[in-house]
Amino acid sequence: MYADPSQQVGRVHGTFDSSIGGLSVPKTAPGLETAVLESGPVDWLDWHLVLLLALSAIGSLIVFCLAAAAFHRRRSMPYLLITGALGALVMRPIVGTGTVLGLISMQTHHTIEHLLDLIIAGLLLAAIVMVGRLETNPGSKYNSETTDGGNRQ
Amino acid sequence: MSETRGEIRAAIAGDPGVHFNALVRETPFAPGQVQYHVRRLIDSGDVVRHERFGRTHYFAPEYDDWERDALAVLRRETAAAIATALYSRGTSRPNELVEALGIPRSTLEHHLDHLLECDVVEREYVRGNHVILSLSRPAETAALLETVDPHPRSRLVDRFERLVDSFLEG
Repeated sequence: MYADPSQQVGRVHGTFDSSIGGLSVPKTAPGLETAVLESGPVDWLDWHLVLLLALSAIGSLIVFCLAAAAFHRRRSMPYLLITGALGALVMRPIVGTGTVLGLISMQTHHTIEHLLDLIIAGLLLAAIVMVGRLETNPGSKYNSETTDGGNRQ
Repeated sequence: MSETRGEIRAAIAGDPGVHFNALVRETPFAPGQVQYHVRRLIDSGDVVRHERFGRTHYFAPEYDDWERDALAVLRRETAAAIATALYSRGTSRPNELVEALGIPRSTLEHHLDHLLECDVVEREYVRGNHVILSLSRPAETAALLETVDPHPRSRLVDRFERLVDSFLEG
């Protein structure tokens, strides 16, 4: 996803002198000459991408830490699964950074990112299913006005 | 007593039940320094170490066992809200608390477990099968609620828990 705009430019003009991890850098892009001179779209793209990666890394890390702290308190399987899903979310900017640095190819990048999507969705679904199971046993201690409502051991 | 130790002691006195990490954040000293001085303060009886729910809390020695337990649990935003609601209502059924506070049932259950374990809240069974909750020591609990304020990070975790619980309960 990250390299698409520049790849498009490359396909149209065929004027690349280098390609860093799928991020192709046009040497000259005649159709965009004015834009290049005025705003430097390639630099802007790189800067934009790095900022986006940094923000998503910080954001996902904060949410993951919150989930980990909540799991530490609750020690329940749904919380563990949600923490796992948010951990997979943290992996996404890491993979993205690897791609920008040329360590991970775009093909691998896409495979890993979509695999992470699958893992996130799977873990969240498992968490929801698990809660459904818990409600069917008499473990809910305070939820009824008419039944016991307390855990007399 | 060194100036550093005095500052750490004052930080503990000003934030009863503070965790080690929060103490490091709140004082300008390195973790190793804080650890050393806290250990010395515990040895001299100026600070009491109290373990509750898998976390270590530090207190000034004037708090008794019940107060230390109560403060450990009342440092949480949701638990404090439950205790405040019980204080103002006197007694309440669990379902009434869920409605009044707008919190998911499993969040209430989790915090009630801690409040009951620390003897802050007591549970009574009326007509055999109804549960009535009330504060064990209303006046003392109200006084303790005045002394602690949940830390911003702890508040965020509490809100995350409530969100996840409501999301999972649908």
